[in-house]
Amino acid sequence: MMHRKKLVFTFLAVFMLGSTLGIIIPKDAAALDESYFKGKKMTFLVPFKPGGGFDTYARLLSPYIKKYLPVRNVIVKNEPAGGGLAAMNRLARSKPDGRTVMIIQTGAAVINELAEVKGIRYQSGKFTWLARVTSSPNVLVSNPKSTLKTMGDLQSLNREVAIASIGRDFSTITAILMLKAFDIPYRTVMGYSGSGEQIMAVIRGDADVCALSISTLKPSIDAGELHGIMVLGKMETDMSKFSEEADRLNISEKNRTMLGSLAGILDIYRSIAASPGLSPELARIMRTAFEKAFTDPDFLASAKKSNRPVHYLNGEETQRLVETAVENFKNDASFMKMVKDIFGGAY
Amino acid sequence: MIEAWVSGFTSVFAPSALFLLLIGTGIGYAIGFIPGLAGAFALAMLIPFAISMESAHAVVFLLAAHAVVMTGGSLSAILFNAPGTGANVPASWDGYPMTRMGQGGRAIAAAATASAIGGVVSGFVLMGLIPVVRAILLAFGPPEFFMLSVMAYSFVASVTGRYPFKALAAVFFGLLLSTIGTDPALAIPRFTFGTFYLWEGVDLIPLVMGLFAVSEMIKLAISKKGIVSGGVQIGRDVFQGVKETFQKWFLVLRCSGIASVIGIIPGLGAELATFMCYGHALQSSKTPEKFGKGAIEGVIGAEAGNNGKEGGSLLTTLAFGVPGSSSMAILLGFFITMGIIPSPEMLKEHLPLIFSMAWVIIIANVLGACISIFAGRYMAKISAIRAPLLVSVLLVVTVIGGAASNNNLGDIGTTFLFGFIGYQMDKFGYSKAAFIVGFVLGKITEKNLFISIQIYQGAGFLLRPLTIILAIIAIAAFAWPIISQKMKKNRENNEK
Repeated sequence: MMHRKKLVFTFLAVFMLGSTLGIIIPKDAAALDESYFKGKKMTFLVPFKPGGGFDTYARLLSPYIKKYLPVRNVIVKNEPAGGGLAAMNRLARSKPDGRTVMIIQTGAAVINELAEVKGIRYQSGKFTWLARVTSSPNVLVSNPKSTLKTMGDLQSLNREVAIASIGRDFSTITAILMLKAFDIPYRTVMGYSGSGEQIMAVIRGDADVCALSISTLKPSIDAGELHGIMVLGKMETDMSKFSEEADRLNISEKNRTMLGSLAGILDIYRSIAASPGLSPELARIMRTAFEKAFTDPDFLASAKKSNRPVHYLNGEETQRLVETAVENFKNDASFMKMVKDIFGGAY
Repeated sequence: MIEAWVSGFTSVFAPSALFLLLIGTGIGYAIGFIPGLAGAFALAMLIPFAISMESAHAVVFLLAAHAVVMTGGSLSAILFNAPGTGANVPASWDGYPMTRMGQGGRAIAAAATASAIGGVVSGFVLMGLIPVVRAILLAFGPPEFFMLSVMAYSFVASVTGRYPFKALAAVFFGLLLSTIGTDPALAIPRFTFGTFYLWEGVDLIPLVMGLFAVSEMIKLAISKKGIVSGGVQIGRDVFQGVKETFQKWFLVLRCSGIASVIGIIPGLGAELATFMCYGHALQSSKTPEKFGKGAIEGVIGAEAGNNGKEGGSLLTTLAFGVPGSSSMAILLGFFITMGIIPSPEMLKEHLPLIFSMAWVIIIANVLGACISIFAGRYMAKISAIRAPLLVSVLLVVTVIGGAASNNNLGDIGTTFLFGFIGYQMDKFGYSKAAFIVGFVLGKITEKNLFISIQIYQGAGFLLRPLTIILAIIAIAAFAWPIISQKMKKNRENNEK
């Protein structure tokens, strides 16, 4: 009887140890393949409310993730709390099991991190970046009825240039940096609730300029409601490029480096990342699946139909660009000082 | 222009479009009726279905649902004092007292008819204002927005009844509460107690659900009776509600007009239009003392305004990409997805599409009103159900509704907290109406005051012509009831 009990105990002990180890050590890492995702649920975090650009990309893409990974479901979850910071923290806290991914406004994520915004629990470089969705050059625009047509006009204005701004967001930082690089004095008119209101403010004459993504501003520029002064970004656009303007007005090397770093981050404006600390094998599987999803002709067709440009870049390259952007900014003392001045430790 | 008008009309009446319009109207109405679920939720839920449709059909489907959400919302506001959104709140101020008097059918019919006329007017406003929208938009800047919100406060001051100081205290409580969350001017989180939950401020939906619905259910549970103390009148009562609304056609038209103009101006929110229309109905009434106790003009004014603002709001969204409400922001996102890019050119190039949108608003509103009028007579019977049964069902629906809109469990706590606060406010005679106005308009006032000071680098914005006109109206709206009352008293004294 005793012997039998011992046997049962030994069996139970071995079973428990085995299952515990099974949890701690994932399946033989080398043998990991797509079947790992079989029957699993994937959460696709969107740091903004439903209906916007970020949300649309997530919803357009999720069926194609399901097509190339045998997941049971991809659930798009909008978590706009804290201007998207709550979602960023959630991704940082999530287990490295490949079941949580997020579409991220990379510029805002990096700037908030560098400004040491209170409550932030993530490091952008530590996420496992899976793909770039879009690059987004920013344009500085003015009212076509005003005399402000070039950076030179802004320089020769005998007062501060008023920037229509939401607040301490990335588009404001972009506008400020563009003006600072040309030594143009500025002031911000803060408090507008979105890009539409910023555009109206410039049209109405509440402010002189604002800077926003090219896709947002293009309809108004084409309609002659706004005038494009300068484009910043690495993507080729049909508008005048900043470098020509910079050469003509002779801006300092230091400022040129700063604008270069800024263009670098605009280059990875919308990107997708998974939890930090994903095993290299799992990262490879996910990056491959995302590559297939992004190059799927049906996905590209639906994105085109929805008027959403796609500038896919693979995960490894996106990871490198994010890490480089963080490093570049960190090494630029004057930029870091400015970011901290703008945010003023207010968070 | 006329060609576009006709082509817009015929495209809506194509069988497939008409079918989607009917389905959209039904779903929108049902979602609106569930307390706590509002337009933004309806759209977010329907977009995955719409995305696979052809763009013209998808627009018909979504817009129809959006157009009648408010009509459905007014039904729960009137029957259970459970307004689905902030914009439905004024409908409950007189609608619910009418239900308690057993006249729920009459109130529902009046609200539905006023909503329909408001919606129809707004559809025609959308068509008629296309040539002048730009001028209107450019005339209103942050200084004017600021003064418009001040005007709303002065309207409310006259709405609040017998205890002006308690009402004032309630307004300040609302204003104070609106300061929680990200500062609208500097984008700095304020009074958030270290939690992300409060970064966006206290959400309006759980607040409204708690303040009005849950507090009412506490009262019902304590009284153990149904909502209606006497019997429920139905039948002829419903047709009387329709008739009375048509008799007050001029009030309906005025309120629809006010709401249309407010709808065009972005950034003022859906609530301001209904608050202002309710205030206008009260001030122009011969029996203002009946307001808040079951005056049918209150229901008519608020509901005409509620549906009246949609056309204007849609016009601004399409022409300038500036959404007037969260629902419009979602619609805007969807339009872009469908390749309908908002721009001033839109008004020239896609005129038939804009006209068909106007027709969808008009038809959906009439359909929504028909549902209310025919279902209203049966729905009104719900108010006679015994409290224990009614409260348990409504409480579950309310709590789920309160939490579902943001997918956040914290909202359940908020709903109950404000249920308790609402109950205490009623008990001690503090106006919940004044509180909600302070809360809703607080951020608009603060934001636009701050922007105006920055633009003019001082108080110079107060000297803009339109700002001065609005300020005069605000002062007159505040002073007129006091002056007229004094004059009445003097006359009575003289007669004696």
